[in-house]
Amino acid sequence: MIFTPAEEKQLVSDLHHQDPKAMWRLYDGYAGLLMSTALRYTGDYDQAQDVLQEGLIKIYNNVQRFEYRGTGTFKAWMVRIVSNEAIAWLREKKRSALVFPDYDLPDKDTVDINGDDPEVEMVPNDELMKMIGTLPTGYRTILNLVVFEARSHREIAEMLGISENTSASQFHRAKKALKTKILDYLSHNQI
Amino acid sequence: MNLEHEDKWLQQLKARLDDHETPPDDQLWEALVARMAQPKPMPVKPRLRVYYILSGVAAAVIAFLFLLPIFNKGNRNEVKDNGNIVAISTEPLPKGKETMPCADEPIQANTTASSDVINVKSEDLKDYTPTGKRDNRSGARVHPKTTLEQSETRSSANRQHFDQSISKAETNIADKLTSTLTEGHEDEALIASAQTATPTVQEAQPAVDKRQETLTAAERWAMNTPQPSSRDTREVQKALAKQAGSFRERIDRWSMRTYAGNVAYASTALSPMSINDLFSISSSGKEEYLSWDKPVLMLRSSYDDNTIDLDDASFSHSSPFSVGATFVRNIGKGMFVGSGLFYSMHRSTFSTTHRGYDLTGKQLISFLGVPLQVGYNLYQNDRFRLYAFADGSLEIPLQRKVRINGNISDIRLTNSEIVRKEKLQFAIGAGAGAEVRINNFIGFYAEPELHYYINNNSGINTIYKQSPLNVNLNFGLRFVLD
Repeated sequence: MIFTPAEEKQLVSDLHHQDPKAMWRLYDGYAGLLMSTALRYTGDYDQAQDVLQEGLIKIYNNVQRFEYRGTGTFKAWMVRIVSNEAIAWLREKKRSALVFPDYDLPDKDTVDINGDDPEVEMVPNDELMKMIGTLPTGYRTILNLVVFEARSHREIAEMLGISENTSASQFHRAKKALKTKILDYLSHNQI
Repeated sequence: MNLEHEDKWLQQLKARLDDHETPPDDQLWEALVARMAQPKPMPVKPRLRVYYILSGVAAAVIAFLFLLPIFNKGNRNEVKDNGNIVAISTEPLPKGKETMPCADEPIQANTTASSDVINVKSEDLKDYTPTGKRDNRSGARVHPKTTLEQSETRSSANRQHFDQSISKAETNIADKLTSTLTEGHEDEALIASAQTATPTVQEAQPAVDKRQETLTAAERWAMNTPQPSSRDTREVQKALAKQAGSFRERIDRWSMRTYAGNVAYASTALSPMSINDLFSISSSGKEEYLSWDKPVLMLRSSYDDNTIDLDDASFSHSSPFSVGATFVRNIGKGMFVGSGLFYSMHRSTFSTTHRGYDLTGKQLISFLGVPLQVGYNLYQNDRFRLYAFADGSLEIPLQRKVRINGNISDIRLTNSEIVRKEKLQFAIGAGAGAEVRINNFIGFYAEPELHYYINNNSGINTIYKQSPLNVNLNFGLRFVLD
């Protein structure tokens, strides 16, 4: 559902006045979008739903503090809450499944990152979501932060406790891996 | 951050997915409303970690088991004090005091030259004391007012029958005193057998007539019987147990079991392990891990550049190897309880892909466990024991080490970390054991056991996750502590 600026402003006002119906309007209007955000981070539907539930509770509990500053700000605020929730979840749940070797393996794949851009328009959205979901956790997280939340590598480095170089390196690898997947998909479907 | 010019396809990707919607499950709204309806949790003091609490419970159980004998000893002393025969006199009782003293009451010392003081528990003479029944409320023995004059009318046949009864009773008293003096325990089989041999009230009625003779006999026995040896005691007890028609309960109350064990068969594969598999961790495997180039802690962020995700790796788990010690206490009726500590080591191999490379590796995880066991002796004699038990255990993950072998020359990927926030592992189990006693103090035992490991939703892949139901085989030594 797409809210007009006036509707969005009214929704925020109703939430400030603790109107119970406004809670449902928010859910009905934004749950799909926020679910998609969570899914991009977790790569798993059930886990994304857990993240979304926690994120929505935080949104409802903190909406009184949100100050409406124009079109799109409310949506961006909610997306950021859900993405933070997803990162927190990944930190907690995935930590024990990860190992951190003291040597960084070079890439074996040979995709030319500087080659022609893949034709993203030819790939359905659901397929793109699946491709992102199957990226390694580190790649997927930094790709989301850079591309969809427009975070700088400095911000990411502070947020995740890594160096800027590491963030840039991960993003580089993420781009290459996603590009490979898109090209494979287009090649496989002869598009 | 502005995407660079050459990342135009990423801008297109963002445009495509920015407003993409994925419908959540229909039940989510209801779950959300239910969550919102719950009262907000009040800030509370941080709760103690679960394993601290459970460790405390286990420590309390062990302390209780240690203290129990002290309390029991106190109770026994109380009875002993009340029932000690301070002295037994050979002098005739004065007129009017013909009623035989209650066995539970101390017989007053008669400090004549002919009296000798012996420290014999009157409780142990109760079977010998042929008169009266115990008052249910007071516990005092009630004696018929039989007098010497009455006893003189007894026939010689009765006297002969009595003499036989007394002789039989003395034998039982001697046996029981032997047991009591050497072991300090009341054995139900002993009591049962002694009571079986005790003359009935009717049979022993002439005891009043013969009280002087019987007391003399008891005194004579007490003074002349040498202190029995441990071997004699065992033989006497064995004979009594056989006489009672039941297996004698093991008399040692405290014991310590040390053991080593392994999962002989994992439920998934149900294939036996080789000897190499069984002992590889404690020999070559350990050295291999110690020789790591940089076994340092690398608690980096999970988004670090060279992170390898093992979530989708293919694991093959070897059987865990464990060593431990348990303190066991017999609590009577053939039952026993035990608790202690054990250390277990888990070894796994895995294969995965990373940046196009096929990687294999080893994972080594150690746990510290606290078991709590309750068991029952199914059969036992002096040399052999069969028992069944049920137990629960808590395992605390201590450390995980991972070594990855790439198929690239001169590259060694290592990782070692202290597991700080890993979840606890709970397990329940049941099994049976057989013990062969080597001597009075040491026994060898083997225990097959079925264990079920409760899912703790840990991210670490272990045999507990892959195969929650396991058959363990523990074997070890049991040391008698008392």
